[in-house]
Amino acid sequence: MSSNGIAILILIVGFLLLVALRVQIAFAVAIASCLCLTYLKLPYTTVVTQMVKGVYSFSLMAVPFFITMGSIMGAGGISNKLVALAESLVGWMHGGLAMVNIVTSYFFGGISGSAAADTASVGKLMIPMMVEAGYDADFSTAVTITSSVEGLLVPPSHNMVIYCTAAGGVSVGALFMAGYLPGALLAVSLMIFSYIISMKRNYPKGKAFSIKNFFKQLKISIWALLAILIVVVGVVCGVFTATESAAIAVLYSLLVSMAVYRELNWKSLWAVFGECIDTLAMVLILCGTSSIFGYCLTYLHVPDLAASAITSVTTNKILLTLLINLILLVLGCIMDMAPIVLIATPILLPLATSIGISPIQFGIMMILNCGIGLLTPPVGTVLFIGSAVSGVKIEKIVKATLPFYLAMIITLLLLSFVPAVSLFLPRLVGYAV
Amino acid sequence: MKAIERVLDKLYALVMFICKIALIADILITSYAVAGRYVGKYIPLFKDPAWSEEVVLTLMTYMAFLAAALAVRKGTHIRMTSLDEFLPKKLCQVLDIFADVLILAFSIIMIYEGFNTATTVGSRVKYATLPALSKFWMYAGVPIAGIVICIFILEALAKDVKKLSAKEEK
Amino acid sequence: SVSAADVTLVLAEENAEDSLSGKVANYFKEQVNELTDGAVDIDIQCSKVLGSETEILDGMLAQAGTVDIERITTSRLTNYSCPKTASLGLPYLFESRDHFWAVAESELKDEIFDEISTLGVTGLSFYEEGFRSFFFKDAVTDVADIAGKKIRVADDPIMRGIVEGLGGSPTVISSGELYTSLQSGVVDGAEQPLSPYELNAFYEVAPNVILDEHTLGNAVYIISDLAKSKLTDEQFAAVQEAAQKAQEFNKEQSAQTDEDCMKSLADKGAVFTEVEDKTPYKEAVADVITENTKGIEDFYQAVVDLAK
Ligand code: NA
Ligand code: NA
Repeated sequence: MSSNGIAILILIVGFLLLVALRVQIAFAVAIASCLCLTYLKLPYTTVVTQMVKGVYSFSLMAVPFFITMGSIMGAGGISNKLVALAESLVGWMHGGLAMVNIVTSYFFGGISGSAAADTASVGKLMIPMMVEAGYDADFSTAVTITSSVEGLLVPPSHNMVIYCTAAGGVSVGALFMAGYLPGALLAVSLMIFSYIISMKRNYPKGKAFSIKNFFKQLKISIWALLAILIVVVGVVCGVFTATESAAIAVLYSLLVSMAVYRELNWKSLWAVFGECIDTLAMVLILCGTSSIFGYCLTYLHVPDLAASAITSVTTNKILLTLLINLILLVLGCIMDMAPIVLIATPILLPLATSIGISPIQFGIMMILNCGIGLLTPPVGTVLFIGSAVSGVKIEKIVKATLPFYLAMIITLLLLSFVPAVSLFLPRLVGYAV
Repeated sequence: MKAIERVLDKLYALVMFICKIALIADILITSYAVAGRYVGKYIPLFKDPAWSEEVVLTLMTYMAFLAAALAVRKGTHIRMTSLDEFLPKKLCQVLDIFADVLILAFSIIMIYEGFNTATTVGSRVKYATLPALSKFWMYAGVPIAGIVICIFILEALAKDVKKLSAKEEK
Repeated sequence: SVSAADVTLVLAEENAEDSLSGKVANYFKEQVNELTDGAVDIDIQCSKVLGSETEILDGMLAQAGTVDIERITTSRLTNYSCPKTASLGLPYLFESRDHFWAVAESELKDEIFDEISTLGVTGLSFYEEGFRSFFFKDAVTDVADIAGKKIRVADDPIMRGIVEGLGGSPTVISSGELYTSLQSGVVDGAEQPLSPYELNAFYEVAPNVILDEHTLGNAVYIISDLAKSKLTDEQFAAVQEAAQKAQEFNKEQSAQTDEDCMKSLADKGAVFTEVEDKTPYKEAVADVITENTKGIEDFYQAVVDLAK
C-alpha cells in the first residue's frame, strides 16, 4: 500500500475509532488529523491555519446571528405568537406544525441558501414550538434538519454557484430554475412521511379551523411576522445579503421584544446571549476542527480517488447512476459540501454526461447528495447544529431521521432517473439544457 | 480544591463575558455596515466601514474557540454515546479519562503551534483594511483558547480520575 | 499524490483546472517532469480547495509544508510589506500586455524577486491573465454613469480607492455571495478579468462590461524555502527553467484566451463598451497611486518608463 493510502487509513479509521471511543467529535476530528499529519511528517501549523479558516467565513456568520434571533424571539414572546398563528392555521391536522416547518424552509431556507443557517433560524424558533405543542423533540429536530436541505435546492443557493464554476461555466440561471421542482418534490415527500409518523405517534390535533381565530392571531402576531418579512423582502430586493439579513433580524426582534411586546428586559437579554454562546460553543468549534480534517482529505486526494474509482467499473447506465450517487453520499458522510462539489465535479461530470445526464440535472443530483451528507454522522454540520439548538443527542436524531433519509433517497432516485424533474422548468423559460 | 474551583468559576465567567461581547459586537458591526451603505452618502460619519468584514470574522474566531473552552468545562461537546448502555460503567469512566488526555494534548498543540503561527505570520502580514494591525491577531485566538481549554480540561481530568479511584476503594 | 517521483511538490491554484492559470500549471508540471526525467513531480490542486492565495501564503510563511508552490496575485502582497511587487497591481499602470512583459523581462524583475525573498519564498516566474474591467447590471457607457453605483471590491484598499475615485461606493461582498448579490441588487457591479467573468456566469446577471481595463491581472509563481530545501541544486534549476517555459506559454496563450472569451461572451449576450479616452479614469485615481507608491517612486517610474 502506498504511503498516501496508509495516511488516508490513519485519518479515517483513526477518526471513526476515536468517535466510537466516546471522544468528543470536535476533538476526534482534530486528533485524527494530527495523527495523519504526523505520519506524513508535516508540521502541525496546518491545524492552526485550518481551524481559523473553518470559522473565518462570512456565510457561516449567519449561523450565530440566526441562533441569536431565535433565542431572542423565544425569550421575547415572538415565538409564542407565531406558534399560535401557525396552530390556528394548521392545528386541525395531524403533523400540522411539521408541515409548517417544511414549508417555511422551502421559502426561508431558499432565501438564506444555506442549510446550516436554515436549521439555526427555523430550528431555534420551531423546535421549542413543536415540543410545546406535544411533538417529540427528536422528531421535531429530524423534520427541521431534513427540510433545511430544501434551502440548497431552492434558489438563490450559493452552492449552486460553486457547482457552476466547478462544472466550467454552466448557466447559474438555468440551474437556479432547475432547483424549484426538486425542492418542492423533496418538501412533498417529507410532508407525506411526517404525516404518516404524526398519525402513528398520534401527535395531538388542535382546535378545528376558525377564520375568526386565525385573524385574531394574525393581528397579535403581526409584529412577529414582520421580522420574517423583513428578512425575505430585504434579501429578495437586494437591500442586504442573507448573512446581513440575519444581523438586521436580530436587531428587529430585539426592538419588538423590548419595546412592543415588552417581554424582555436588559437583564434577561444578557442571559439570552449567554444561552446563545452555550449553543454556539458546540457548533462553531466543529466547523473549525472539521476543516482540518477536510483539508487532509483534500490534500490526500480522497475525493479524486473515490470518484475515479468508479469510472472504469461498469458501462451500465443504471448501475453507473447509482454508483455516482453512492460515491457522493459516502463522501458527504465525511466531508463538507463545498470541497466535494469543487473536487468531484470535474471528475464525475464527464462520466455523467457520457451516460446522458445533462450538467444541469447532474448539478441538482450533486447538491441533493451533498445535502444528505450534511445530515449524516460522523461529519454533518446541519446534524450538529440541529443537536445544538434542540439539545437532543445526535444518535437519537439520526434514529428519528431514518424515515426521512428514505424520503430523501426516493427524491434522489426520482431526480436521477427522471430528467424532466430538473429540466422541465429551465426548458420552459427557454434555457437550452 | 474549593479555592481552585472558585478561581476557575471566575475564569469561566470572564471568558463567557468576552464571548458575549464578541457576539454583540459582530451583530452591531454588521448592521452598521448595512446602514452605512445606504445613509453613508448623506451622513459622512456613517460610512460603510471597510474593516467591517475582517473585524467581524476575527471576533468570530475568538468567540468560536473561547466558547469551545466553555463547553469543555460544561461537558457539552457533542459525542457519540450510543454504545454506553452496552459498556461497563467503569470502562466508560476510563474512556472519559482517555478523552480528557487527548483533549489536553490537543490544547497543547493549540497553544504551541498557535503561538508559532501567529508570530511568524503576524510579524510579516497586516490586515488588508486595518494596516495598523498585524495578522498575529487573526491567529491569536487559537493559542489563547488553547490555554483556557488546557486549564479546564486539567480540572475535568482531576475530577474524572477522582471518580474512578473513588469507585475502586469501594 | 501517487507517483514514482523522488520529490512531489504541491502546487496550489485558485482557479479551475480548465482556466488559463490551470493550463499554465499543467504545462509547468509537464516541463518539470520532462526536465527532471520524472524525478520531480508536481501535484496540482486547483479550484481553491487548499485555500485562497493569501491563506496559502500565510501557511508558507508559517512553514506549514503542505503547499510548496503557488501563484500569488501581485496586488495581494500589499499587506505583506512588498510595496514594489504590489505596485504592479496599481490602476492604469500598464498600457498593454507587452508593457507588462517588458517589465517582467527587464532587470526590474530582480528587484521584485529580491523583495519577495524577504518573505521566505523564492520568485519563479511571472503570470498575466489580461485586463480587469468593471461590469454592471444596468447599462453603463460612460465614466459618469459609475458615480453612485455600489461596486463589489475584495478587501483590497487599492480597489477601494479606484471605486471611490470614480464616484462609486465600494461594497465588501465575499466572492461566494457575488452572483446572488448582483442578481438581487445588493451591489450594482463588480470587476474581474474576462475569463473568470465568463466562468462564473456573471454575464447572466451583470451583462454590461465597460472595458476600462483598470488593472492588468498579474501574479508571480513562488516556491517556499522549505520546498527548495527538498530539491537538489540541479532539480531546483530544472524547476526554474520549467517555470520560465511556463511563462512563455502563458504569454502566448493569454491574448488568445481573451479574444476567445470576448467572442463567446458576446454570443451569450454580454455588451461591451470600449473606453477611448482613459484620462478621466486616470485622474480619478491619481491620489491612490501617489499614496501607494510612497517610498518606491523610482521603481514605479522605471515601470512606467518601460511603456514604449
Ligand atoms: Na425546516
Ligand atoms: Na455527513
